[in-house]
Amino acid sequence: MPNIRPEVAADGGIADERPDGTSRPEETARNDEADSDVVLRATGVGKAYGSRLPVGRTVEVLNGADIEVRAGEVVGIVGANGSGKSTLMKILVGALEADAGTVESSGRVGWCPQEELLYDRLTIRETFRLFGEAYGMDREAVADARDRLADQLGFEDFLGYRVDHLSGGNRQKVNLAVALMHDPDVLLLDEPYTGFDWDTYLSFWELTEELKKRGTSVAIISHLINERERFDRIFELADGTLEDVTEEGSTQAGDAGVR
Amino acid sequence: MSQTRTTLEMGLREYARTPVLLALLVFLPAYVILFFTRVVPERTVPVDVPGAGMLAVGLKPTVAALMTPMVAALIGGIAGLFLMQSARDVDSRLVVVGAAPRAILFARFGLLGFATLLASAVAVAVMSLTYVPDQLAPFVAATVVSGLTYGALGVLAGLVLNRLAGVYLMMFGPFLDIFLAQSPLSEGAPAVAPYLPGHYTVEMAFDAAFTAGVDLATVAGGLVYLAVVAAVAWAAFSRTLRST
Amino acid sequence: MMSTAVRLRVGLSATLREFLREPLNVALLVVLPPVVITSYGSMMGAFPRLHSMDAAPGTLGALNGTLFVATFLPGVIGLFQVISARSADERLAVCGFQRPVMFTSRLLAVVAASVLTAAVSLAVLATRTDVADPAVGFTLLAFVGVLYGLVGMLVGAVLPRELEGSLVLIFLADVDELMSSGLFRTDSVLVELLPMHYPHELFQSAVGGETLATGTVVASLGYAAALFALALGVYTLVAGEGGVLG
Repeated sequence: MPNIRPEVAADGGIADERPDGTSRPEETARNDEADSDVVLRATGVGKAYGSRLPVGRTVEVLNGADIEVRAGEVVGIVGANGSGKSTLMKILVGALEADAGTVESSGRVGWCPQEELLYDRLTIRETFRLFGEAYGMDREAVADARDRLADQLGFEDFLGYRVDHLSGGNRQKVNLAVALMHDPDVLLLDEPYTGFDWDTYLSFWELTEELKKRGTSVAIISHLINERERFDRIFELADGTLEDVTEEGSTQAGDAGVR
Repeated sequence: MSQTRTTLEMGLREYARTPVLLALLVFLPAYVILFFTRVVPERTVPVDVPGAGMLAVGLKPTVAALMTPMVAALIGGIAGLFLMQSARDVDSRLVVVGAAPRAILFARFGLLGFATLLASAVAVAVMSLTYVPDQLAPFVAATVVSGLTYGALGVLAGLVLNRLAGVYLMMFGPFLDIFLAQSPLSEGAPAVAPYLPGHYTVEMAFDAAFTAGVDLATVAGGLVYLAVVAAVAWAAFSRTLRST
Repeated sequence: MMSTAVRLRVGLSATLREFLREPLNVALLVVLPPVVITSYGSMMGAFPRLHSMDAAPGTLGALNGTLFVATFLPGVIGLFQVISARSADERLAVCGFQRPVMFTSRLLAVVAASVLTAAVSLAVLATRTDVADPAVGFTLLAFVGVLYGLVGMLVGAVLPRELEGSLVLIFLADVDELMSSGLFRTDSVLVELLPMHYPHELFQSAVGGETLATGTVVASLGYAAALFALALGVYTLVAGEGGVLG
């Protein structure tokens, strides 16, 4: 289990709470033996979108979704388009408030969103600096992380380039690197393979293996899961809830994949 | 503090890399003030200046003194409408990973202020080619306050309305408010005029342009109006940063 | 294979449906004209009749307000049509839609908006003042709407970003409106370059029941033709540049 470095910036840069009210990793006490290897847990999560007025349709996207991610696991979350995968992910990382249920984490959470949420006109170096500051990392740590990830993912030649001048694949690499730079205990990835070429896809899985060895958990949300053997567990999101489908042979997550 | 500084610094770097926008912030105010100071005929008009009563003033300086805060309002309004929103998703991501929302708010509002300041400086500079306000610094201040007030309103409009409605609002708002409702050429202000955003700033501008004194009550009114609108915009924008 | 006419019809109905589905847009269409025309009219009514004014200030205000409303909604729609559709149009170009066809489809949306706002604005104006020739008045309002729609499309093609495009359109529109307000008169030739300069005179004549000056009509049509050619040319050029996927 990697060291949880309580790097808080001198001016208290790290907010005490996530926007959804769940506590920062350092604040949450570990419960008991049985729970000690659970790094992320969601219980009874519900979320509905729709009109606040009496008229208008309300869409219940999540309805009592439960999931536990343990240390060093690679978990896949699969579901059809519109099943609520991105909503679930945003709730798990604290970017969105759930209508019901709780989310707890005992470690640092890293989030790689499906859209490349980056500042277009900043260079890769500047992007690392800005996000590093937000994570509460000092300059050397930021530089180390940047150089290490640039080397691992293969964008070391582009550090001085603006994000909007990068190819789609490189932008996605930077998007991923930003989620990894603070050495998270659990990494949540929303459709990470988009725009990857074959080499990058392989590098991505090498990286995942390395993270797993270090005890970092990886949760991948996708509408398509190939190579089931890479995953320790697979959940299917359907009708607002999650079902463990690891043992099942052919499901939506199985051979055919889902579009 | 360092987070705010870094976020603001990165925001300014992004700005510097949008040369078209920067060029527009300079060119548009310059073009408008120049245009009007050229086409408006040389005449004298009676103008009701707060604190000084009716004065005979040249039409060119009158129009210029009215156009300058209006130009700042247009720029501030549109910038507020779009600028704050332009990176909202990414700003939210920054908050999720640990940035204090305050830092982002300071940076975004700071950039809005920068755009308004730049446009105001250019507008006043070009106006000064034709007529130098009696009190330059207070006149600049009035212009900036006009821009910031409409900037804050633009932020609110951007959060509440769609872009079509927002642009429409900015197209008509400053025009109807500053050019018509607050016009010193009219014989009677409409009942709604004292409540409009341009009220205090136009009075401040005319006071500064054509008299030697500064009416503190007007200045206070303008600053309070700005503070209230800005506080509401700040709170509203802060809320949106916390949930995508 | 889809004929051009069918493509245009499909595109137009989709755009209209999308526009009308948002309640705020419908509100804009219905609520804004009375608000602007009434405000403009009553605010101008407080002005003394300056020697630059051809009519009573209040009437002039209502007239200007009508033109303002009827022209600038299509202008903003034209702007955003082109900006939003940019990447979609690039893709469509690759798929075989010809650029002039795409341009026409966007323009049709602008025409639809112009007709709608012209009708609403004229109706509001008629409640405040007598409109001697409503048919000509309506036609002129729709015409100026299309004119500004073309301006919006041109700006959107050159500056395909919301902030920058809106800034330019608003500054142009407000200056145009200021010069037409009647609050001062000028002999400067610069004013004749503004889109609303000639149509404004024509509209005033139509409302007042005077004959339209032939020279002004010709100038307006010539301006419109030149603007159309410019907008089409720039749009085709710009849409062509990014016409490769990925």
